[in-house]
Order: sequence, then structure tokens, then C-alpha cells
Amino acid sequence: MNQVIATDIGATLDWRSDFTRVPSQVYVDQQLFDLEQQKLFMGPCWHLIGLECEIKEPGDFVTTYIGKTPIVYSRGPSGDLHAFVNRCAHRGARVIRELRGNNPFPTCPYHNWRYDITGNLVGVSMEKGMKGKGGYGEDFNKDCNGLRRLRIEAHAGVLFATFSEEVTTLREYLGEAIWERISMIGSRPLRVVGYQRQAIKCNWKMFVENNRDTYHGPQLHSFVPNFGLVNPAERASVDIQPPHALLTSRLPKDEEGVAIIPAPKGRFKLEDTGLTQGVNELEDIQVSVISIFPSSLFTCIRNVRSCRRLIPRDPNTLDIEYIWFGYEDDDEAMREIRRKQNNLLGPAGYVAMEDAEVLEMIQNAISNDGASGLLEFGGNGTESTDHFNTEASIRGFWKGYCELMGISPTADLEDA
Amino acid sequence: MTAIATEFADMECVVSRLNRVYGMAIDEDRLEDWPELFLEDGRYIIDPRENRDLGLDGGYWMYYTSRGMMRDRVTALRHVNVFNKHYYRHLTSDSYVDSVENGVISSRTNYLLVETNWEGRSQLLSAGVYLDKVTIENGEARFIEKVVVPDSFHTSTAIISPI
Repeated sequence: MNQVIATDIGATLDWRSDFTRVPSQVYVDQQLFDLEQQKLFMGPCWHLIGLECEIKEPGDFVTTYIGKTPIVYSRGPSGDLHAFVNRCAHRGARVIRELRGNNPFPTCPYHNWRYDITGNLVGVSMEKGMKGKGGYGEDFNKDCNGLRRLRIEAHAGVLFATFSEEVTTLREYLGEAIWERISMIGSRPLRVVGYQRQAIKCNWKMFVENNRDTYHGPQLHSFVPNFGLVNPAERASVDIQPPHALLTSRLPKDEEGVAIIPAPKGRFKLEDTGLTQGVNELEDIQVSVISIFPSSLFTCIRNVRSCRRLIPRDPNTLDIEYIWFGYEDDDEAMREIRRKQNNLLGPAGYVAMEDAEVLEMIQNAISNDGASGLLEFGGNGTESTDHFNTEASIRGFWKGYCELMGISPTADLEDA
Repeated sequence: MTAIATEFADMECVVSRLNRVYGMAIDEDRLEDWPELFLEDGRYIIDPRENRDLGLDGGYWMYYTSRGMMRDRVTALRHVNVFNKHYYRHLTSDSYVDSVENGVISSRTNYLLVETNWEGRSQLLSAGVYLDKVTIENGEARFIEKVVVPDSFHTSTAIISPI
């Protein structure tokens, strides 16, 4: 049934086999949105869900979503990691209704079904009815009625989960370059410094594109060039690990090969330069954006680090949950550096505030009218580059998207 | 409930008025006046309630530790950052003074902030409380520190101006 829908939609879309066009329909169509839930979010993909340091003690849990599905990640009694769907096996109510906490035995409020924090059903009210009447039959088995479990894996303190039994190991899914980058970022114990939550009235895929879009940075976010935060000597690379992408910008080096943070130089001068003060933590890497297909982001910009969960609510609404983190061994000076630099990012950030409005303006302007967007910057390939002047990694996203959604780019309509 | 102490009543008037002046500066697009309501080393921080309740020390929406950082925000908004025209409208409650110690007035003021966009559509952008430390010198009240704690820690779209 769903396959039929996919084929039908695929046939109506003006895709090109090189993904230099994006049909606007993919941002507004409810059928595609529903299919994404099944094929991507519940499909053969690993999703970044959080950090291990959020659930240190047995019984600790955090609630979030993968796609539209509410999930919980938790620490079991012997330090084991778990992830399960936050939906009672009985009638489907949310079992846990807090963002986080500690509760070894969460209980659904509706009929008092009681679970343990690993997702097992451990108690059913009136299981045998009352006075020998009613209740569940002899064949009712609590072991078969636990909360739906996900596979969960930790790498360098970062948690990933998947609904799929078939998908390969996390390491193979991410590829060596991304695996190694996460190892590097998580080489010291992580510490959450804060959370942010933001709703944007745009399709979730626009935000994925935005985070792979190395063209818009200095164009839209004019804070960067105007306050001279960018140095043309920074060495950039777009490493495409289909369908993921790893964007990196490295600092220039001095004569002795030591990475240096250049002084800001621009049309305007900061009165208080606290914003730009920082230290080299990831060797000479100044910007590292890991875009994990389909919708996970792991971003390090200067000394600010975050995981971003993208949570699609409907075709026109996206929630972003940011987990900002530093390290356990940060001293007070380092914490202050991260706090000040965080002014660059997030919903009020100097180099981020524009994104949400621009994406909303796109969502407002497009419709199901057969129009399409253009992705020809840097040619039509999806190969890695040693510069940012390309949309290759966005084309790479759509390639992966179509493959997993079962959409065959129909024809090169305009070329034909 | 015991009788209400009246010892801080005068100061509550001053702090309420300072918060009205703060709100009006932003609502009337006199952003340049905003940093001037602070001491030179004054602090302006937006600390969403989720983080505050957890006792976290980062993830602020804005973290400005000097009047210079606030002036930089104004420069950026006036000349550099790109955003749609919008109007803010602050509704601030009477202020409640908790304590006065060594000339530092600690107070709480509730706020509602309505944002109206370029097409004239309004929405509640933020509800929360201002936790202020205020000083009065030479008859002029200024913020030593203003910590905005939005209950609305799940925000929509973008935070452009101070809230």
C-alpha cells in the first residue's frame, strides 16, 4: 500500500537523476510525510537521541521523539542502556510525562499498567479481575506486552537508537570519518551545559538542507563577515559519506605550523570581544558539522558543542531540541568561554537567528504547484570537495532520501 | 498569612518603573536605550526555565556580561543581522522586592511579551519572570543584573530583540 503511494508520488515529481532540482511538493505533502515516518524514522536508520551523561544513575530517563514517535532513553538497574517507545502497550497513553527524571517503575496513569525502566511490563491492575470475575485470561503474558524496544548504541558518550532490526552496526552506518570525528569530540567525559527548544514553521528537511548548505553562511549570516569573524585562510572541506555529510573548517597555521585564531577584522568592531575569545580544542578544527542521515546533527563551532534532534510535527512544523555540552573537566574560565560563544548560536544567536525566519519564508511561499528548487551550485555531483562553494552535500541528502523512500527519479524531464 | 510588610514599597515603585522603562525602550524600538539601563559591568541573561530548574550553567539564549556586549547586540541588529520587521509589546507586573542588602535590591517581576509580525499577526512570544538586581545611585535606578527566565522555554522561530 505504502509502496504504491511512494511510486505514485515519485512518478509525479520533477526529480532529476543528479538531484539538481527539488520538487516543492516534498516539503508540503502529507502522504510523503507519513511515508517518511515509516521509511526513514522507523526505517533502517540510526538516530542520534542524546548523551550518555544525561542518564548516569539507574532509573534515570529522558523523553524525546524519533520522528513523531515518543521515545524514552534510560539507564537500567545494572547500568545498562535502553530505549523504548513511550506509549502504553494497553491503550497507547504516554507512560512517562516528564522531560526527564528518575523512576525505576513508570506507571501508565490510565489503567495503572506498571513497567520497569527497561520497558518490561511488570504489573497489570486487576490482572485476574475481581472476585474471580473478569480480568485477563490464562494466556495473557506480561512478557509479550512490554513497551516497544529500540536498539540503542553508545559511541564516545553519544547515544544512537534505531527501530530497525536489519540496519547495520552504528559504526558501519556512520562510516569511519564520522565515527572518528565523534571519537575526537567525545574523547573526554561530556557534561550537559543547557538545553534549548525551538519550533520553526517549516518542513524538517529544510533544516537538514540548511545545515548542509555551505553557500548561505557568509551570505545570510552577515554578522560573520561584518564583524570579521571569518578568515579566508580557513581551510574548508565537505566530506560526503553518503548519505551523511561532514563539514569541516580548519584554522590557518603560523610559520611553525601551530593553528592560530586570527583577530576579528570587519566593517564593525565588537566593543566587548568576549564573544570571540576561545581556545583550540579539536586540533585546528574551528567548525565541524556532522549531518547524520536523515535528521541528526552534531555541531561544534569554535568552543560551542551541541547535538540537535530534529522532530517533525507535521509537513509544515519542525521542533528542534538542542543539547549544548562541554566537558566534565572544564574549569570556570572554560565554562565562561562556552557561555559567551553560545551567543552566536541558538534561536537568538548572531549567526543562527536568520535561519528560522528564512526557512519559514520558504515554507510560506511554496505549495504543491509543481515548482521546484534549484541545486546547481558547485555543479551537479555529490563528491567531496576541499571548499564550501558547493551544494553537493544537499544533493547527497536527496540521493539518500530517494533511495530509502523508494522514489526513482523519473526522468530528466527538462533535459529530455 | 501575616500582614504585608511595607518597608520596600518605595523601592517596588522604582523597580516597577525601571521595568516599564525597559519594556518601553524595546517596544518603541529605542534599542539604544536598553544598555543604558544597566551598569557598565551589568549583566543581561536569558535563562530558559528548563535549564534554571535543572541548575545548569549554560545554554542561555543570551549571555551578556557587560554594557559593551549589549551595545554590540544593538549594533548587530541595527546594521548587520537580517530579520523581518516585528513589534514587541511588554506587559510587566508590579515588581516585588525580596530583599535589599548593601544597596542591592533583589526583585521579581512577571512579564508577558506579545510579538506582532510584519503582516500584523500577533502571538504570545514569551511568558516568564525577570529576576533583577537593581541599584539606585544619585537618584538613578539601574540594573546590576537582569535574568529573564522564560516559562516558555520552547520558543518559536527566533528571539531577535531583548525580551
